[in-house]
Amino acid sequence: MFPSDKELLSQFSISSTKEKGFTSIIQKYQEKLYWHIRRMVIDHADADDILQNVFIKVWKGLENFREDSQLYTWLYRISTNETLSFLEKQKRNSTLSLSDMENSWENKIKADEHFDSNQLEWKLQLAIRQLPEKQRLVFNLRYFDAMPYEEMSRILDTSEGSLKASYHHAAKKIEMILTSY
Amino acid sequence: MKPQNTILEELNEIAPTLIKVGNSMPFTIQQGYFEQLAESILEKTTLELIPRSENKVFQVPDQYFSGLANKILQKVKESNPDELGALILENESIAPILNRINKEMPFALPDYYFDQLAIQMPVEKTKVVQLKKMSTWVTYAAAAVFAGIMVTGSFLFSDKKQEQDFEKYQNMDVSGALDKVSDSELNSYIDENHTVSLDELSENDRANFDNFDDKIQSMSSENISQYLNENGFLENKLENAGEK
Repeated sequence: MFPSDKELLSQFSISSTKEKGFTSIIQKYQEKLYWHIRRMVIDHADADDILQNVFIKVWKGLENFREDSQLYTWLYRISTNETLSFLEKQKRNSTLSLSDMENSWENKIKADEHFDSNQLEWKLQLAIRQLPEKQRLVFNLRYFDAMPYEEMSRILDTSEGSLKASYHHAAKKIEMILTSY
Repeated sequence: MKPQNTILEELNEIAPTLIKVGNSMPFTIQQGYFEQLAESILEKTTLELIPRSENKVFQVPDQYFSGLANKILQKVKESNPDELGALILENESIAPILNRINKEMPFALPDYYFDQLAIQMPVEKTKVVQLKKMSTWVTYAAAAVFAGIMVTGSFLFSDKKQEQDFEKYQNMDVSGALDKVSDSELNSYIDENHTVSLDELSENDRANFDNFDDKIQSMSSENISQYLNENGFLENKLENAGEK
């Protein structure tokens, strides 16, 4: 079991245990953050790059981290921002049309070595790709991480009501897609 | 439980011969069996836990411990009904199919990715301390001081001083001054300050000195005029000295 966030922050604040504290923070949150990023960018190498950047930013910013907000929320916020920036940059640099880009996302999913078109989990991933970016983000946080709307609101700077509406729209749309397969 | 009398009455109705048999146990057990039973069971349980073969001691599946904490966390999270329960209910009302899908990520992941994840920290560059930019007037003042030093230096160490010294010595009445000095004083000065006389020159040096006129005569007039051009200052001074 990992130490509490408070304990980890305390370790990080002391120079002799700074690296140990930071390593424990990585070990504690790496999987959650990785999957949060990967669900959005699909490609492992991209997810790995973003995750590296996230933790480098965490290292640089942790000294100024205000303990009145949760470490978990702060980490998700950095990951989300880094992921959205990456996607935005990718869109700017791409010469593909919007529909071609959507196809390329679908192809990325289908290129996964474990892909099985009959498996419901993969059908779900393909359905999620059809959601608008913001809805996809909300859906992933709620569905896979069971994140409360209140916490999501702090990460995405959006009202709880709006997030709830977003999730409901996304869930209904996905159900519709899944039942039509 | 039924009272003993009721049981006997019941037995009398269905199997009266059994009443005659009684209910005492005919088997014998070793003395103190029940007192030691708990202890002997515990002892056997402990023995069961001890591995019989040394080869099997402490063997665990590969990567068991590296993923253990996360597996436990995942179970703790899943067993926490608060948010997950709320989500299940929410999904049930809007999209029940979502509750029937396995949430395990189906994507491929490199082997031991999380165990070997290392963050490549950027090498921190040494901080360059930016010097405070000087104000304009300080820059001009420094330039003025520098220029002043250069001018004063060039004035002090220029040939002008040499010229002034040369003129001063030219105007001095050296012969008159020497006449005032007694011979004994001159001799003691020469003894104390070893000066080189022609007698002290080596034979070779003396030969060179004697051939000086011949050497000048053997030099071309071009070489001599070039030398004088290059050392015109001395030439003028010598001429001036000669006139005086």
